Amino acid sequence: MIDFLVTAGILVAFFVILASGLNLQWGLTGLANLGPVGFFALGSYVSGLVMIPPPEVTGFVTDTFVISLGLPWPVGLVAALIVTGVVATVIGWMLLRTDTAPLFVAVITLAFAEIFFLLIITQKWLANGFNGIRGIDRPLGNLVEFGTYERFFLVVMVVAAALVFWFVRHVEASPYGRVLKGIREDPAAVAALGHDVRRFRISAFVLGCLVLALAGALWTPFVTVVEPSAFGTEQTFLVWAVLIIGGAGNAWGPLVGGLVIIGLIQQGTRFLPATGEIAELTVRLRGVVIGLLFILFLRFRPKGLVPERARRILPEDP
Amino acid sequence: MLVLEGLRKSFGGLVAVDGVDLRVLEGEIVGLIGPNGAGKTTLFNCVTGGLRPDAGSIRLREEELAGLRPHQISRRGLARSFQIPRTIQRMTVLENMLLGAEDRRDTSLTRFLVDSRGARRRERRMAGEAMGLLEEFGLDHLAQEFASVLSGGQHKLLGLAQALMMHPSILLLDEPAAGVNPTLIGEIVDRLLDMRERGITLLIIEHNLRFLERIAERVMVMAQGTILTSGTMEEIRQHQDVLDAYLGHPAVG
Ligand SMILES: Nc1ncnc2c1ncn2[C@@H]1O[C@H](COP(=O)(O)OP(=O)(O)OP(=O)(O)O)[C@@H](O)[C@H]1O
Ligand SMILES: [Mg+2]
Repeated sequence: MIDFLVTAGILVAFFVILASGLNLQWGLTGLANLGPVGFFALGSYVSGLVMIPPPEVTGFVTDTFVISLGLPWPVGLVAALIVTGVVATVIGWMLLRTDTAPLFVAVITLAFAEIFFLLIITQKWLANGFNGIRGIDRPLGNLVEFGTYERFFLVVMVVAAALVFWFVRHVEASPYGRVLKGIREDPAAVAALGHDVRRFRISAFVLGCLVLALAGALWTPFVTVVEPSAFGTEQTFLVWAVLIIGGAGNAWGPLVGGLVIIGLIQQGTRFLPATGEIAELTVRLRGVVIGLLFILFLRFRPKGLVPERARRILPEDP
Repeated sequence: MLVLEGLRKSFGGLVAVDGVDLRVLEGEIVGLIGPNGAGKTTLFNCVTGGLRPDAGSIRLREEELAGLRPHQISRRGLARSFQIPRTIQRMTVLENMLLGAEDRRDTSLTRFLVDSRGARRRERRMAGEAMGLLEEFGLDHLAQEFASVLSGGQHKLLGLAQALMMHPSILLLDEPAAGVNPTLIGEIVDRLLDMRERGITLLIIEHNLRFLERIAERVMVMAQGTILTSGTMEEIRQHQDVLDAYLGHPAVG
């Protein structure tokens, strides 16, 4: 029971981080990133490659990696953020102009995730293809007792999710966030008010990608493997479902969405008093239920469980 | 102040602005009239950087604007309002005002994260200034409401107030009186005259000639992409070209 809660908590925190990253892009800025899983995967792979020791050391002698540095986790994390930052800046710089159509953003980000996935599975020399990266040393694995490691992981994830939440709260309540919200509705009008729309769009896109990559770089070392199968399109769908059902455009949305969709529906359904075929069926139906909820929310409550609220500013008496 | 020379803009085969020369002096209030589709809005869009002109030059106090991007142009003191108001609906009226006031320093995220108290103080100070303007425009009671609750005329007023938050030296207004009720029009006239008192130069597109008559010192007539003539309202009324251009146009009446 406790173990289950720990696992569920880790997954909730993980999706809160992912959906918060997407919230910076879609929720605040109106950039429809349809490839969040691609940036999450990029963060995972970069941190994995930096952390994995050479195949002779891990013992999987047929594995091939473009680099295998065996460096500690913080290095892997920083490397993941730097590489993702560069990649996202290049994509944003080429893609995002003041008048870029939303559909264009959607298609290009979707294509990025697909290309990255194909690159990984077809180019074995890069990151060992289908078998992925295995044999990463768990951070602080020698200090934390093996039986309690999951709990340690939970603490790390919750702290990270809290930091990301704090960050998005600040963005949302800042003049910077106000410009993003303006751009979401009318880029040309915001430009006429003296704001460099292109710069704001690129920076929000990059910030969102960094948060997505952070999730990847946290996930990798703690589960010790990076496998291509973890980065399917269904992850992108789940991140979107968490954001939209929770409520886009405010920091609470991803938090509530994560608790409800991942905590209650995806993980909570394991508790149903069912066995055998019925249990099997509930597992299969989870995805269907989330999909239906997603559609129903889009249709009847597009603002989500926690709608974005007006920001009240108390004016100083002149 | 603002000098256009040989400005041209075409959309495919359609020449919307066809070699326009015009000059607006410091402190003037100039009207720009002409039938629908004459190219007035397109001219504004070229000047404010939303559209890139095909040829010609746009100089603001000797500085070339053609080729600059919209935010660069508005930072040089040239603000505009839109024919169809473009306030941000899912944001309060007060926040819309701040969006016009905040400069690059205020909107830096790093600055905010490092010193959010200082940023909040500046924000409240600007909000105080914004409230003063909203009061002048009769919108102060709506300051904390989403802009989506405003009426069409109130949107126009907010557009004007918002432009003023940028402290412009010249303001381009695209049909500020269209769709506004007569009482409110009087209000807008007063506000525009106030602006002149503050030294703001105004270039105003408007179909409502009675409205222009009350404020514009000079009117230019545009038709089919070119400036036909310019002069005081009385001179314009005598002009045969104008009558032709406006033939059947209800606003002349
Ligand atoms: N983005 C565009 N693409 C193609 N054609 C355009 C575009 N914008 C304007 N036009 C065309 O250019 C011509 C001039 O349009 P413009 O909006 O400048 O007229 P206007 O003088 O402002 O008219 P109104 O008084 O009706 O506002 C019109 O024929 C219009 O159809
Ligand atoms: Mg027009």
